[in-house]
Amino acid sequence: MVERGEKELIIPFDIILLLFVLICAIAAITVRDLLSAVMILGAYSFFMCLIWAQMGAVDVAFTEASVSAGVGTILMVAAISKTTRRSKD
Amino acid sequence: MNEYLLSIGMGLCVLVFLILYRVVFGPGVFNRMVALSAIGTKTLIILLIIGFLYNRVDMFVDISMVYALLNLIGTLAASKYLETQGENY
Amino acid sequence: MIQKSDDIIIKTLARILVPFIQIYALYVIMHGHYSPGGGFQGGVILAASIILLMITHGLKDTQKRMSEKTVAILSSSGVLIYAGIGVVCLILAGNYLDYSKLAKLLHVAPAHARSLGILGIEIGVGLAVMAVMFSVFFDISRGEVSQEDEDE
Repeated sequence: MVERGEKELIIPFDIILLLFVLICAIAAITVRDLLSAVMILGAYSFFMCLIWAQMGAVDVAFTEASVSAGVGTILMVAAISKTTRRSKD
Repeated sequence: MNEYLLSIGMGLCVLVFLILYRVVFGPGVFNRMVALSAIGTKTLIILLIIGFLYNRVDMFVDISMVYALLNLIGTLAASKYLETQGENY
Repeated sequence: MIQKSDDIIIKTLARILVPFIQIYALYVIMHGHYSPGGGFQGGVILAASIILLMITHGLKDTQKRMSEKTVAILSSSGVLIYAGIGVVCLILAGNYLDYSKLAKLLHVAPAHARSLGILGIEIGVGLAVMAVMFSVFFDISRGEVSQEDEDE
């Protein structure tokens, strides 16, 4: 068996990052401007990538960073440019 | 060595928490865009510190490089949108 | 949103960065068995490089390099490589995607043939993912009338 470093959660990081994710999620729902909501979702996605990384799931963290924080945000900005920027509620 | 790196990680998390205030409450979209870019640079270092704590830093360098590149592209896309469609909300 | 930018800084930046991003994406595909990455992630990074080109240089210049016909051919050939390797293993008297039977064709040991078979499949997946992601972005942003079309 290959000798590695310990592969369990780092508890202080876990609690702090979950708090950040909660703050970002609540902010993304209550903001009226759609472009700002897309950017807050980009930050949310990168905090999720950090949570996956400190749980030891490195491939999942790579996919989350490249798809959701990278190309996903760009696609959503392109979709907003076709409709209005003001949300209806 | 582990306690030293963990304390540096906690310090960077406190800094990210201060920038998160501008992401959530920043009046307008420009504040949020700049704050998002600043969060990206801090969390890159947190990712590398997690890699050191797991004794396998060469895996986590790849994820950091990907996010550094995609952060730039996201900021460029959002500012291109604001240039062509105006910044009126 | 996709108009030709007049800013020389952004255009020069994009021109310098795009080859390096593509080489990095190729590294991620090739080293999928050892470090995090693989076919899917490398394909997404390749698509991001071409989207960068499209944001800074406008629609027409990107269409000269990556037209819709090229995108259709790339996505189909990615799926063809994936399914084709499976069918070749089937023809050589094995199960579907049983890479050890490729050792007869490539004159290497069966363990080495398994490694090469997975590498071939990752390349197929990367090509297909890149083509589809770029095509989605292209179709979303194409409906607007860009300024250069209005002048002509």
